[in-house]
Amino acid sequence: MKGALRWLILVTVVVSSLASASSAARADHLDAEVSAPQTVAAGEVVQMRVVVRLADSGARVPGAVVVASRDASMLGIDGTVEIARSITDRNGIAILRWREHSGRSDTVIVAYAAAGEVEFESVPESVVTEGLGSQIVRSNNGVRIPGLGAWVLIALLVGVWAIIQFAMIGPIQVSREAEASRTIDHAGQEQVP
Amino acid sequence: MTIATALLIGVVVVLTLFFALRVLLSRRVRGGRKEGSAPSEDLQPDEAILSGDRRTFLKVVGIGGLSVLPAVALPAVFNSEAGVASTESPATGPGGRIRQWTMIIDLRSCDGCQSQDSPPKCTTACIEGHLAPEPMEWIQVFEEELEGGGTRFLPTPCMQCQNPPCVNVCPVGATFSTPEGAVLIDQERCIGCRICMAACPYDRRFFNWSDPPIPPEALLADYSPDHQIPATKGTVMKCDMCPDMARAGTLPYCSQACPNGAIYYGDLEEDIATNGREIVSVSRFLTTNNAEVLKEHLGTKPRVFYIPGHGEAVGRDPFTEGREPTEWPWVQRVEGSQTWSR
Amino acid sequence: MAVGAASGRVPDVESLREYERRLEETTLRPVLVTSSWYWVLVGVLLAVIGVGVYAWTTQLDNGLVVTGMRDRVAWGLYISVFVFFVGISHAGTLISAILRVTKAQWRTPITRIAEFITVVALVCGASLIVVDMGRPDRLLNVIIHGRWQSPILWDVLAITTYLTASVIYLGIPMVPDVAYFRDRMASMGHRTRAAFYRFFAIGWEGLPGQVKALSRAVGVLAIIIIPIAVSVHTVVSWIFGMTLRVGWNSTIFGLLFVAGAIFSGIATLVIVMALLRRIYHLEEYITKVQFVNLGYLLAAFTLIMMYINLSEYLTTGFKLEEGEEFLFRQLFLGQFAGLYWFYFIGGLAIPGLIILFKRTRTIAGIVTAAVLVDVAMFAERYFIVISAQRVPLLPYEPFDYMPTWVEWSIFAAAIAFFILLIAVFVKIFPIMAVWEMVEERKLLGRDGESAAPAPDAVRGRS
Repeated sequence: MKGALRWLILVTVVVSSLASASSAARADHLDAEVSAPQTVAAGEVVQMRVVVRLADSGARVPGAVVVASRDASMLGIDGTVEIARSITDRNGIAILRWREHSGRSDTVIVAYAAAGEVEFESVPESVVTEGLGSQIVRSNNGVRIPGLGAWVLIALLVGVWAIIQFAMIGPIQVSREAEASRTIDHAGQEQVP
Repeated sequence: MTIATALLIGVVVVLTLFFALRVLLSRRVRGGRKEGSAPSEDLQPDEAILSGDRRTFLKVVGIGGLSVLPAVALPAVFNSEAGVASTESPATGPGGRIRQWTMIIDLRSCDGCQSQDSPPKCTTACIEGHLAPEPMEWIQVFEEELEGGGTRFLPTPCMQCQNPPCVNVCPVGATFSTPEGAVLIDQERCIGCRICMAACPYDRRFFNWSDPPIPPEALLADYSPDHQIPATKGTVMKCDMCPDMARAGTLPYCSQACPNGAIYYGDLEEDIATNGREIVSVSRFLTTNNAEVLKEHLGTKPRVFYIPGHGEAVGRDPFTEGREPTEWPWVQRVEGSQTWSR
Repeated sequence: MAVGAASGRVPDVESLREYERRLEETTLRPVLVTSSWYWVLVGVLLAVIGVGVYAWTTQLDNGLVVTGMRDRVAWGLYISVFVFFVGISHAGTLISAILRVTKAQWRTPITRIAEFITVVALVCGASLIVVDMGRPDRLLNVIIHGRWQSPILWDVLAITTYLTASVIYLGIPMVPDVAYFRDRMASMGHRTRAAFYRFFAIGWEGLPGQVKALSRAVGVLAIIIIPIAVSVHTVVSWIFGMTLRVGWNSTIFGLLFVAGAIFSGIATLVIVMALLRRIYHLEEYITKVQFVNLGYLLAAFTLIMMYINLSEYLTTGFKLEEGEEFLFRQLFLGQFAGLYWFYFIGGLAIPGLIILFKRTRTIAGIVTAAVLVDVAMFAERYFIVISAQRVPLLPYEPFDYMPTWVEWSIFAAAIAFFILLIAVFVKIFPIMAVWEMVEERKLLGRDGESAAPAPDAVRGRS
């Protein structure tokens, strides 16, 4: 997996006029300026900075809701999933933040709507990622304590068994003694005649 | 691997010690005892029949062998670390990363199938799909009392713990965690000791107390821990999270059957889940809906999450109690089938 | 009994010979003479075992469905009996080993019996595990696929080790006595029997080098067997302690089980000892001293058991976590209350009191206490195993477990098998450690102390 993977993120910016200052704003009069890192790998936390302005005056819009979403598919079901959501601050800046889980190529369109209306305008934005990233979630059961493992049990067991075996020398010696005495005995008997 | 090595070394050490000391001792005895010791007075006449050396050797081997015998049990331990029964290679998502299957049950949408006038459809579909013997309800719907007197329905599959008490205690590695995060049981290895049932804090394990009923179609299935068909007497079964179905690209039986779309299934790695109708980002869905796991304080780290609720999203009044009893329609199709109580 | 003892004289060689001869005759008698009552007993035991075997075949045919166990109480009578038997097994070796290490001389006449109880109880206990398995045909999987991490495997390893060590520990001190049997059988013309004993006597002739080797082996075993025995019942408790269940999820389970094991072990030893003493007229050797001293041990353990119970139930009951209240209600007030209070009053308080009062501290009294303790300890194993499983884990009605005839039959068969093995042993091997008893008497003689073990005699001297 060496080749750089190219992908694009679809960013939908939904702007609603929550703040009184921007109440006059309309979707087709808004402009969104998106700045995102050029390279993103799976597992990384992505921060996307979105500046929302009025298109005609260039004035920044506070209190606008900004939503990032992306097309996705799972087990035969397709749809759009929201991956981040934020509200612009006093300076019309919103930070979208999420942990990147995807590794696919997507198309990015930046769209925005005016207050009280569901009318989208879109501007394509693209981000290039290189590298796939590694597994984010792992299925690992239990806790591993360094140095502690089955070998402790094995060592214990081997030790105990060694002692039991050591005790078995007793009967062996008993047997040997008997044999030794018997050898002498036989020798004695042979010498008698 | 390291354990196998350690074990071999251990056995070798014990045996070497044993034989080395034997040789050493026998030499000392021979050298020191030749002369001086008085001949034993009551030597039995027939004792001279066998040659002394061989007799002693046999005795030593006899008694020594007795003690070494249980050491045979040690190799036991050869595939101890994992001891995992083989499964198919795990499913991968984008970037070749392994899928991490998860299940999210939205209790706001679960009314225990009260509105359907039927037993919980997830349970029924699971029973049909897995040919689960009566009285096994791998995904069982409990009615739980809430503070204030109302009730909620709680569908309970296996929680697929990431710190699984059952896997930890299994003596033969018959129950194991897969790389996809599911906890499966190999019924061809299970010895039926039932310590996993004692260990499971969710009562999600079921035992084949008798010969389970087996319909003809079950015999066609190629057995795999992924679907546990056909069932085997004297072994433990439970919800397997249908990893084979997910690999084939379909939702589990329970999720497919839910009329309210309350059961989401998906991949934590790609962070996407679906209930067959809509698609959600798992992390956002869990977080924004205050998801919980059952018995969190036990530290079992389940892969099954719950969105708190009592069926309000489908119009259930929490004071409407009761649900239809579960049925095992397919069991009747098997002649002379035996069932038992839970 | 010991004639010269009361006067405090050093026993002369003649009286020692006499003592040895009498002792040997007493030990040999069961092997040579068998009454018809013995065969009646064996017949009855075999009949009970037969019923148990029939019950087991039923279970093998139909599966465990013939038992009272179900998913929510997945362990029942079998596991309780297993725990009980492994507990009894501590009678022996642990008691005889501890007493040997601490050089308590009164234990010599009863060590053999104690050690044999150990081996027999372990065999019975281990076989019950096989009976409890859903797939006994896959027993070898424990060896082929065994996982070090599983408490069950710890059990297998600990029990195998303990059984091996116990068999050796039973066999090695028996060598001189078996050698005596060998010689006697040969002189009486029983060639086959002599050959049998010759195998176990490993050429024992009482040579000084042999004595030394044997004593050293016994010394090593007596020490190593103590930690092994402690580990065995600790590990048995961990089968339960390694789960998250209310009632089992306890840190003092190992202690509770080991203490209970020694407790029931002593009680079993007292009972078996009293029976053999009565049947084979061992009154000269097994005197009131053994009963009273074991009685004191029993009394001490009633207090230890009470203390552990207090620690366990007060610490959990004070806080009453989820599920604890259910457990406590069924244990102290509900369906296990009868068993629990029998255990506490009949098995701990009353035996303690029997031994406390001098008037009841008779052999009969102590045996009564021992019987109470054994029954109560069985009840304790039973309610510990069952009551914790009865606590519901999810919102469902608790399952009431009741053993079926199959389980009761196998339980009875296990007890019968235990008695049968002891009965067979008595007919084959020396039931008292003759050689050790004589050696000790020699030592006593050399030290210039009284050779008589009876306290009355000692008191008479002073």
